[in-house]
Amino acid sequence: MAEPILDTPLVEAVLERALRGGAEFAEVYAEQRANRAVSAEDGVVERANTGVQRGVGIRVVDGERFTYGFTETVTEPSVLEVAELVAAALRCGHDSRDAGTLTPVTVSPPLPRVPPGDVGLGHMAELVLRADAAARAQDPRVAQVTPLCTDTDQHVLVASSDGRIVRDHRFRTRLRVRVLVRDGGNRGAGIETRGGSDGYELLDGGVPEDLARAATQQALNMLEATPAPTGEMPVILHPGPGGVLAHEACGHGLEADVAFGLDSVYRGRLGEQVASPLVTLVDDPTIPGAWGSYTVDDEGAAGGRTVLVEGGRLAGFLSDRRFAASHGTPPTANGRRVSFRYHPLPRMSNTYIEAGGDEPAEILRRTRSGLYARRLGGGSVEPTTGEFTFAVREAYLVEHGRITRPVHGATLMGSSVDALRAVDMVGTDLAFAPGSCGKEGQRAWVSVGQPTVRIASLLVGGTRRQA
Amino acid sequence: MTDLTSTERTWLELADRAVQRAVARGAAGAEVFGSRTRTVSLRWRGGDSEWQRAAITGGIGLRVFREGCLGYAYTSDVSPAGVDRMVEGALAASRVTAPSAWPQLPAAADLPPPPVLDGLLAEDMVDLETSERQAAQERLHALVAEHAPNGVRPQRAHYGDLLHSTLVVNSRGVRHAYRTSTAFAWLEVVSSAAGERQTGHAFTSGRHVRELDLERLATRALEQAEVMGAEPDRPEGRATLLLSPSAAADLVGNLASALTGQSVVKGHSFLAGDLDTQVASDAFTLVDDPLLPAGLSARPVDDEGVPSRTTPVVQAGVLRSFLHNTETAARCGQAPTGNAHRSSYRSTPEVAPSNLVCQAGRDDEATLVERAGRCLYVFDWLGTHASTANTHTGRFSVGITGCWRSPDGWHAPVRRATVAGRYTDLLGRVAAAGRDVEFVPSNYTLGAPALLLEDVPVGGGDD
Repeated sequence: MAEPILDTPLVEAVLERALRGGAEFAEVYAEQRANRAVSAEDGVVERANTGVQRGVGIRVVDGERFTYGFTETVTEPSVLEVAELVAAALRCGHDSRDAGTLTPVTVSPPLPRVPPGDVGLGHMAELVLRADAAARAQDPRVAQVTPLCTDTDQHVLVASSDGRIVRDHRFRTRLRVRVLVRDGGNRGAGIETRGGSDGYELLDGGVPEDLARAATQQALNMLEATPAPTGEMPVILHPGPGGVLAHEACGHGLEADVAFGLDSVYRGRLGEQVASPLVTLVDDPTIPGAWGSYTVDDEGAAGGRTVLVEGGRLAGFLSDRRFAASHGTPPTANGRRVSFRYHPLPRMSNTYIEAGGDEPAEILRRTRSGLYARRLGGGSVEPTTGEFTFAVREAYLVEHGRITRPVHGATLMGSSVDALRAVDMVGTDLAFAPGSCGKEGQRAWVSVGQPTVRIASLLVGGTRRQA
Repeated sequence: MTDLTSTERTWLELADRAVQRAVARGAAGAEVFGSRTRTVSLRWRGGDSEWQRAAITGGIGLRVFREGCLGYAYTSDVSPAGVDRMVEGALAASRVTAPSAWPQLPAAADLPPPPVLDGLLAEDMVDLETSERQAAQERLHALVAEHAPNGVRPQRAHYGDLLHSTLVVNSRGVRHAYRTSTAFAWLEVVSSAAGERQTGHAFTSGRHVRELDLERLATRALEQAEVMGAEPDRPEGRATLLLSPSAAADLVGNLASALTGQSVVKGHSFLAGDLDTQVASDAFTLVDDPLLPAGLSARPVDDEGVPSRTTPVVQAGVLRSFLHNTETAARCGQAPTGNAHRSSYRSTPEVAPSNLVCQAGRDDEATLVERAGRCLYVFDWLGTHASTANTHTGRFSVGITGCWRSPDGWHAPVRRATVAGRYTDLLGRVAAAGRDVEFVPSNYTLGAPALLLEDVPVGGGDD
C-alpha cells in the first residue's frame, strides 16, 4: 500500500506558492524511503540497521534559470516555507502563474514476488551468514569475508505545474560479498554482487553461495598475479562488468548536460561516426528487474529505450525535461536524482553495448597477445574530452589466444572516441552488472552491460614494460 | 553549549528522550548522534548563473547495546512517533547481531573536558544575504576576465556555504553540541588554445565568504589551464616531481584509510605492522589536528563525544600513531585519539581523520623549483580514488597530469603519464615540503604544502 507522503491538496498549495514569483514551471518531488542493511564480518552478524528518510524537494524553473530547495522535515509549514524561499530566490519579474489542479497519472510499477516488507532482519542475517560460510568452506586461505545485504522500499511522488501527479513505488534488493585471501605475505581481493529492482526472490536458491564462491575464486586468482605489462595492446573486456568502460567513457559524454556543453567532444556530431561500426550503445530503464530500471523517471516521465550510438554513428542523447526543452531535443525520461535533496540530472539507467556476431571463444582465439579485463574497478573520466583512466581489478594476460596468468596493477587509459573506434570484435554474449554511478555528488543505481568486446589497441598502464 | 539556537535545544531534548526511552525498553547503553545543516549554494556555467539551492537537512541516529549486541536505526522524522519508530528499529536490529566484547560508548567520567575552540563559527553567516554570495561570484568572474590568457575562459564555478550543528548524547553522561560555518568556492576554467581542450581548477575555503581568497583561486586555475593547453610531452624514465599543494593533499588523502585503526583491525592497512618504523623520508611529517581552526574539520569533540586532541601520525618519516575511535582504540590497546567519524546521522561511527595535515617546510614554490632545476609539476592524479591506489597492499598505479617546469618557467605539459609502485617508496622520495599549506575538502579535511619528490620513475606509454 502506498504511503501518501503528501496529500494532493497540499501539493497543489505548494505548487501555487512556488509559482508566486512568476516562474514558468514548478515541481514537487517527495519521497519516503525505508532502508535496511545487515552485514557480517568474522563469521558473525556484525551490523544491522534500519532507517527512514523522508523529504520534499521543490524546483522552480524560469527559462534557463532555476532554483531548488528541500526539507527533510516533512510538515505543512516547513514544506510551504521552502516553496516560498525558492520562489523568492528566482525573481522573474512577471505575474504569478496559476498552478491549476492536478490530474493523477496512473503507472503500474512491477511488484516483487517477495517484497522487502515480507522479509525480517533475521532472513537477511541468514543470507549473509550463508555467504560467509560458503566462502570459508571454499579455501583455507580465505582470511576475511564481508557479505552485505541491503534493501530499499521507496515511495515517490512527482507533481508539476504541467498538471500531472505521479506516484511510484520502487524496490531494490542486493547482496554483495567481498572476500580477502592471504597466502604468506600475498593478498588477493574479490567482490561479487547480485542486485535488482526486485525483492528477495532475487536471492533465492543458492545465490549467496554462488556469489561467495565466485568472489573467493576471483581473490585466489589475484593472489598469483604478477605486475601488469605497460604499453599499447589489444584489450578484451569481459561481458557485463566490462560495460563500465562504455558507461564512463562514452555514456557520460552523451548525457545532455555534458553533450550540449560548449566543450563536449560529441556536441553537434549527431550522425557522425564516433565508434566502430560494430558498436551500438543503448540505454533502457525498462529491462525487468535490472538494477538501473524504473517505470517513471524522477520527473514523472515514463521510461523508454534510447539508442545512443547505432552502428558506430552518434544517434541520440540522454535528456531530462530541462535539457530537452532548452535544446529542442526529444525528452528521453532520463531525469534522475539520488534523493529529494537533489534536482534531477540527465543520467544513464541500464546502458549497454548490444550483442554482436563474434563467438566469445573466437575473440580470444584470434588475440595473439593482450590483456583480458575481467572486472574494471573505479576510474576517472573527463566527460567533456572523454579522457579516461580505469583500474582493472581482475585482469589476465592473453598469450597465443589463451587466457594465461593473472596480473595486478593494470590501468586502462585513453579517450572514449579512440577506444570505441578501435573496437574490432563484439561477442554474442550480452550480460549486465549492477553498479553505482557518481555524478555531481549524486550516486545513482545503474546497470552496465556488454558482450565480450575487443579493443584492437588501448594504452595499458602497468608496473612493468612489455617484453 | 551556550550559543545554541532554539532548534538545537529542541533536538538535544529529543536526543535525551530517545536515549532514556531506549534504556527503559531494555538497552544497556544508548547514544544519539544528530546533525543538522543549512546549505546555500550557487553555480555558474560559462559565466552565467545556472542554479541556486537552499536546503535544510538533518536527522538523528540511535545506537543501542543490548546484551553486548549493537543495533542501529536513524530517522529524519523527528516527531515523537518518528523517534519511537527509530527506538524500536534499533532494538530489533540488536536482536540479530552478534555480541561484541569491546567497549563502545565512551563514558564522560573517563574523558578530559573538551577544548574551547574559537573561530569555528562566523555568527554573521546566519543572516548572510544572497546578494553577498552573488557579489563574491561576480568578483570571481571579473578576476577571471582580468587575468585570463588568450583561449582560456570560465567553464563552471560553484559557491557554497554551510551552517552545521552536531550533537552527541549518550547514556554514560556524554552530552555535547556545537556549531560551525563553512564557505567555499571552486572554479574550473577551460583552455582550447592548442586544439585539445584542457581544464584548470582550484578550490578555496574559509569560515565566511569574506575569507575566500578569490584572486588566488582565479590565478591558480588559469595558470593550470594555460600551461596544460600547450603541445604535450610523454615522459619516460625518472623525474623530479613537484606536487602542487592540492595534489600533495590528495596523496595524503589517499593514505588516510591506511592510517585508521579500523583498517588496522580489519587487516586492510599496509602500514599495520609499521608503528615506530620509517615509512617515509625524514622530510615528511603528518599530523591529525582537529584544533586547527583553518582546517574546516576543526571541532571540540569527535562524533562519539570524545574531546579533540592533536595526534602526530608520521614524525620525520616515522609512523607514530594510527587514528582511533573508542572501539578501535580498545581493540588495538591504545587510547582513543578522538577520530570517531560519521558520514551522516545515518551511519554508525567509523574512523577518519579530522584535519590531516602534512607539515610545511621553509621554502616557497619558486625556491623548490630552483632546487629541482627541472621538474614535473603535478596538478592532478587520475584514478586515485580507484582500486589502482590500494591501501590494503600499499601498491598504486595512477595517472598524472602536470607540466614540466624549471626556474625559466613552464614547458611542455604532460597529460597521460603514470606513476606506479609502493607508497612507502614514493614517500621515501620526499626531499622537501613547501611553505604554504592549502586545504582541500574530502569527507574530512586534507592539508598539504607543495612536496618535492626526487628520482621518481614515470611511465609515459607509447606515442
